[in-house]
Amino acid sequence: MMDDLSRRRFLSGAAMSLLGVGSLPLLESLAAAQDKQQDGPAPLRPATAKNVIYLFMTGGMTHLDTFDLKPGAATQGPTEALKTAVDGIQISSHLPNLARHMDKIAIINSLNSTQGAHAQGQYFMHTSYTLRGTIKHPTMGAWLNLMGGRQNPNLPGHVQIGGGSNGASAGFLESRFAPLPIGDPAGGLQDSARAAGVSGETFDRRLERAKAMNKEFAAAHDQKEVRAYSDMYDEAVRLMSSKDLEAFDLRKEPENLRQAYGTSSFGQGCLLARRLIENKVRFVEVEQGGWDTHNENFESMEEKLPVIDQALSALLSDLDSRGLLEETLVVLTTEFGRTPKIVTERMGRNHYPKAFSGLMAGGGIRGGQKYGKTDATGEEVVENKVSVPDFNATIAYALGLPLDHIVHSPSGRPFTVADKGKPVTALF
Amino acid sequence: MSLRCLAIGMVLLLLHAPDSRAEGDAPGALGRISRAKIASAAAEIDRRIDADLEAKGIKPTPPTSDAVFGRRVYLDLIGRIPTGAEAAAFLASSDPDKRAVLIDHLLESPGYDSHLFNWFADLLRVKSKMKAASGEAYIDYLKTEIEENTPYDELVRELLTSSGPAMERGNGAVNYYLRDRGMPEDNMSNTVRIFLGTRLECAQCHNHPFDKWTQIQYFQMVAFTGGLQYKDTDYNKSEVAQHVREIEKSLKGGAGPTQQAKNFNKMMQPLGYGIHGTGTGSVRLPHDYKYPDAKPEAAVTAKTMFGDAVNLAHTAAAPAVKGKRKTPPARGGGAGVGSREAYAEWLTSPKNPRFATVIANRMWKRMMGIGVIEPVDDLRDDTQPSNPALMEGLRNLMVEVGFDLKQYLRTVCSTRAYQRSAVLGDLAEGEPFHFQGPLLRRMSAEQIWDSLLTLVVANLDETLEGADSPEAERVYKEYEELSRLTKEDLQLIANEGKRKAKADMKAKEETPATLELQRKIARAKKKGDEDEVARLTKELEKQTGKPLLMPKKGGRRAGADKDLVRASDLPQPARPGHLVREFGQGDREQIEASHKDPAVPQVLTLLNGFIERRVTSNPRAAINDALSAARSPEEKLKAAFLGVLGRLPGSAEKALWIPDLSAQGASASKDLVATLLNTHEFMFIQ
Repeated sequence: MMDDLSRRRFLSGAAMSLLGVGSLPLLESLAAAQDKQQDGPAPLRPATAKNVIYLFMTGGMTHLDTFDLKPGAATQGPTEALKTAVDGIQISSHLPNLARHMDKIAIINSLNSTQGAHAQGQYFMHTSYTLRGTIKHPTMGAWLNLMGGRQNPNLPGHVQIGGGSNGASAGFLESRFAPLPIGDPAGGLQDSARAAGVSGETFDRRLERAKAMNKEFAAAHDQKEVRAYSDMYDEAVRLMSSKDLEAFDLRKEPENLRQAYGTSSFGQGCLLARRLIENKVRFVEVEQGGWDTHNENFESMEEKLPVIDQALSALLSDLDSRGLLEETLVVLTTEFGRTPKIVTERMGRNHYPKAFSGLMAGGGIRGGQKYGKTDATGEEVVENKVSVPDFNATIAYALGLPLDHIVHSPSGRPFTVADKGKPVTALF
Repeated sequence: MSLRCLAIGMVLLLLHAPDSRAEGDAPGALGRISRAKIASAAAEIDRRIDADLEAKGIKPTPPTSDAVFGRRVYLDLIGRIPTGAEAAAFLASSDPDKRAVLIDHLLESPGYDSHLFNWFADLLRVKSKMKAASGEAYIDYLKTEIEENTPYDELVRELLTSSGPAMERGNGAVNYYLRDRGMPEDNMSNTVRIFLGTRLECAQCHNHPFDKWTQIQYFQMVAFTGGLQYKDTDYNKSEVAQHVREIEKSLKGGAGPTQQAKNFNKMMQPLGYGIHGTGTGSVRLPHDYKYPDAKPEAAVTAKTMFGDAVNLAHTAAAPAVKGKRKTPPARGGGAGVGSREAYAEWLTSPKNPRFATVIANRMWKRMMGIGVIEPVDDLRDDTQPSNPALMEGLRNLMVEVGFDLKQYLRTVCSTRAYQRSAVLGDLAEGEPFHFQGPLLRRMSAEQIWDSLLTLVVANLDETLEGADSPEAERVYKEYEELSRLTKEDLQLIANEGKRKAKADMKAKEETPATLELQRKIARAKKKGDEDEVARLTKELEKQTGKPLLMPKKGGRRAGADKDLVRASDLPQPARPGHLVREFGQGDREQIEASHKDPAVPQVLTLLNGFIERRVTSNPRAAINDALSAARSPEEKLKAAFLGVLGRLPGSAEKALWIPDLSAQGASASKDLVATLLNTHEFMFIQ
């Protein structure tokens, strides 16, 4: 537990970072607070990453048909293995471009979750805590913005592209830490400019009068939900007047680069993620759905993997050529894997939280390695098991977030980023 | 208020005033329970709340004003704000029973069906496009049942026992199982969660870590749906199926199915799509079952998880499952001992310890903002309602009204508790709530959309499509046409397919320019850019000199206003980026995936998007009609406040706006409407 002094420091740090003073004031104050702690917390290390591009494969990505191949095993099915740029690492033959980038990527083949249903699994992966009826936990992007502060005061620190309803929320934190949802990346941030025919003066007059009524309403109904909407109006108006709004506009990108990412929503989402990171948005999640391959698993791979292959390869090259890969941690993960055993009558695979794969690149990660191992059939983790909290602790570690720092929910319950997970330091 | 508004309002009230023969009772089906009886049932609920409040020393909030009540009950029962005329009429009425009259009027209006459908759609994960096929038959089925006010227990029984072809008219209930096609285990977890408020899914792979359920109990429950087949096997025996198989064979090449065979198969797919099997009452444990009470892959027999035991031998002789609603069952359910029927009977019985409680609690939460039991779907043996007597009273009420949701909601709306002012301030997290008043709630995404439309489309509810939509009709027609195909028809289709394939090949060979155009069309199609597809197709036609098939227009309705329909008539769920999605309509992938969290795009839409485009600068918008009809600045101000907020302006508001309205006229009216729509008062239900 934190003592009072360090809690006060944390609060003042949080307040400062919210005011946009300095980029990492909170961490410094936390580091100072922790130096005084008795029980020897893990020493803080300098962050190797500033930002995260978090690619979430919704539905449960099959590990055997992507990054944990078992050539020759009965559980492999028709999926074929492909050699990569790194000796000894093979991935699906539907990922030929990514194979050439393997020197930048660390594959984790020993992920293990305790949650076998979608909502629960997605929630767990995003928050490190299991889904409860009594409290909502913050997603990793909210934790980063709380503890690390925003870097661009005009843009939201946390954006989610193409997804929604998969457990990514501010949880018990204030709603300003919640991801800004972008439904269609090509559409950008809709309605972010004043409507034609509404002058600045008119806009301001309307806003001022609405705000006056809202102030009265919020005074009568002093409730979190109401306050949150007052915050949202401030945020929206700030965003509208910001020059950084162009960060949301993919039309500013050259056509050939847009094509390089692929015309899919996921591809364009990855490109938008890069633009946002470039403009100092700290955490961008891009979702690709449709991984729940109970039926026709192998046919689905023919459609899904080329999209990932193109988008992720383009993203890694693009980040690399702009010098952004060093400071940007790219994460690809999912809620669980899929059963090695193939359901032959529908050529499908079912949910499998016991063993699955994810990957990380950039942001201080040592590429060209494979961490953890499953057995010959892909059913059991036999080496270096990585739990969901461990996986998230690794992200937090890259970002230099203190893992033992306690944040209290409004009801006074203590929580930490990554719920006591141990970072996989071998990846760095 | 303007005379015109008043006149319209009075007419509305007169139309729906109680008829003299019934001594103050609602006309029609609602009248089967008298207002006096409803009032006494509501008083019983109030007694249970008030006793609890008194025991805890909590003061109830004061009764609401008519304005707050009127707006609240419109939103809660029919999912939209009242129009200015409706609000004015309600406020002006001097009938001492006017609240009861309004409740009954709303329960019998089409908006009620629309609003309840949205609720079911979120709960049941209803989608217009399901994984393998259209979901329109399911939507049509649910809308029909809601419009007929089918008792809830009967509806659930139908969902759980249905079988037969999914696309057959009136048989949409089978989509309840098809929604989880190939996943009988998940379907059972969902059933238990939705209807019994109990979380069983953890026990799918191991004994439940936090509750008492064991893995074997889980599979005993799954066994009720044992032997379920996700196809209409009766179709396989039909003559059409015979012909389809032959032709498919003739289309297949040596090296496996050709594209044509695949296409043909897809075209015929609605025919065999459905549910078969009345339930074998038996299922096998997983291969990795690890507890000592049974061996892996051992057969387990269906057994209920709580409440009464079910005797399957007895039900084996029961008549075949009724699968269809409007036509007598044409086929039996096939092999099985009828365990699905037994499952449904046990689950929906008033004797089931949780079924009535769960729906009573869910409906109470829908009206009051919070359940007596929270969360509503994680009941355990030690679950304590915040007010046990109230929970018992609500459960009894649900059973007494025969699971008639209309009568139940009618009673809830009649309680003094519902008619109190909203509770102020934050709730203490984790503390039980004692219903000193309803909670302040943000409107649901659908309520926001439907309320905005109330300001745009005059007589909005008359445009409601409801059941028997053209989309459902198309699905049924297609199924009927396919069922009727003769061998000759099928051969003709196959030959045409071959011919077209050849023609396509030839077209591709033509020039690089047309090839590029075709690529572009494919790309635009993928993006869903219909205008671009149409433009490019025309271009291609010009170049090749051949008319090509026009791409299907995606809209559900023709005309410019095809999108201006109530949320229940939009595709389910609405497309990503649609206003209703931005405000939190769920993606329908998970049970109750909708949310009410604030987000910047919502505010941007209200500031710069929908309101500006569709309301303030739209001369045909209903609210602008009302404002132009108002003759003085005072009347305009009243019309705007009544139309957007359901109340009259206060004196400070008059002092602020009347000078502007006098001096600037139309532009001030625009400012006024845009301002009111950007208030918390609009977005929240008090």
